[in-house]
Amino acid sequence: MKKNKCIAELIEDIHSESVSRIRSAARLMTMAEESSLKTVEILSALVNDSMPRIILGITGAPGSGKSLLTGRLIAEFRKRYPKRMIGVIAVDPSSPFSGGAILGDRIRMMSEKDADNEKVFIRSLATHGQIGGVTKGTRAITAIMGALGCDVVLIETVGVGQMEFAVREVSDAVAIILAPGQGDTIQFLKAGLMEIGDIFVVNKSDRPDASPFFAQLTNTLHLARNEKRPVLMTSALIGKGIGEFYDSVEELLFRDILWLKARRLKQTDVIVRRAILSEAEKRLHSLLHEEKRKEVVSDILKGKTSFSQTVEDLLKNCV
Amino acid sequence: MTENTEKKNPIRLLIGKVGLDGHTRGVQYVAHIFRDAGYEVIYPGLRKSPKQIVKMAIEEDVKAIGLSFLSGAHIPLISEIMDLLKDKKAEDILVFCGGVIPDDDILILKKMGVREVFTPGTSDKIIIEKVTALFADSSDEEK
Ligand SMILES: Nc1nc2c(ncn2[C@@H]2O[C@H](COP(=O)(O)OP(=O)(O)OP(=O)(O)O)[C@@H](O)[C@H]2O)c(=O)[nH]1
Ligand SMILES: [Mg+2]
Repeated sequence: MKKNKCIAELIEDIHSESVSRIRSAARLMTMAEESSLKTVEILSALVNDSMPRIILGITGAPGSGKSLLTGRLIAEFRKRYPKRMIGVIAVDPSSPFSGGAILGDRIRMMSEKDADNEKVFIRSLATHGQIGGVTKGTRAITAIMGALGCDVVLIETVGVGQMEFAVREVSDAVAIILAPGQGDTIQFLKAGLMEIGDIFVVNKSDRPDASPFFAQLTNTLHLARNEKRPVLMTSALIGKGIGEFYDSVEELLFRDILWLKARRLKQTDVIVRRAILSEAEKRLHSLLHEEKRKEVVSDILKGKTSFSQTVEDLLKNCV
Repeated sequence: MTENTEKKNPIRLLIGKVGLDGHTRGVQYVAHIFRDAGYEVIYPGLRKSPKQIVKMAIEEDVKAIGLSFLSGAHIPLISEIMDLLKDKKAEDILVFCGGVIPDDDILILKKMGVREVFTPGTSDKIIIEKVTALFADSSDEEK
């Protein structure tokens, strides 16, 4: 395959019947991660393609079973719709030391039966150390999955730091996965997970301490204002409660199509706006290179120029 | 790390095992040294078939596949992977491997297009250097 295909060529290939269409999609995903500029270019080039019908965020405490449960959802989807395609985006943190990462979520997501199935596309992403790194290329990657024909996209992010908030910005609904033995519900409240969840799942229901945890969680949620959100029990290990989980996602999202449309529009709006600002900042940054920066800072501190004058000059020089 | 420092995204590799042997230590170790060298490593777990490895490599858009062998089945497995890559028009994904591999086989593997073969005892530093050099080469060819 030619090395430097441009966005339009790659998209053309995705729309074709060529053997390289999956490859082209994967390439395009790499480009989507490279810069905000490319992310937006890709989003705009795909504006007439259909987005996936369902975009579900899956987050929660480390080790609560997100990947295994994602694997179960894949299998459930495959059982219900053998002809349709499903995409998964698995986000893991980069090492703060080297910038590298080991991305191994997919091990748990694929049953042997599905492991070489062409109807399942899994992409692992690293956060590259950015807060909100989830959102930078994720929306465009979701759109690319849509163009490939994915009906459903699942986005797994690890629930530490602020990543669980970012996943809200790129999904239709967020499922919070919790498991017994990982601290009590007070901690869960503190972590802020309660605000962002649309569906709550107590996984590892095969364990004896799952029921009391479930009761405690239901209680905690019902004491708060919004009681309508579903709370479910699953066992990703033995495959229990998976159908119910899947049903509740469908039900939640298709209750109100207009709401869903509006939500997606607003999300894209935020993503594009943020991309514009980030590109602008990048350009300003290059004007204010190392040498220049020293000079400017010292001039301000010494009172040679005013702060606001400096800002104005910088913006003027940028055009 | 500020958000706006222009940084190239790390190079992505798939580091794994094909075939039936289930020794994890070697391959996990190698995955870690690449991570520590700043690579993004897709780690697919053990006992993957060539078809699964190639599918993953394509979906994850890796620049190279690194495979570890202990079982002695490296020649048929690598040959299958090379063929699959060709079928999918993905020959530009480089392949390197490591393990207990006899000299004669190293020649055969290289003939099949394997870029590097690391035998036991190769230092971490050499592995990283040689693999990193592969990417420098391939970007030169483009120009
Ligand atoms: N008993 C039991 N164990 C489970 C269940 N689901 C997952 N596990 C185990 O919990 C561990 C973590 O599972 P993962 O699916 O990797 O969890 P995760 O939330 O994706 O983990 P991170 O991505 O590392 O945050 C594994 O050892 C699983 O086998 C379950 O339903 N019951
Ligand atoms: Mg996981």
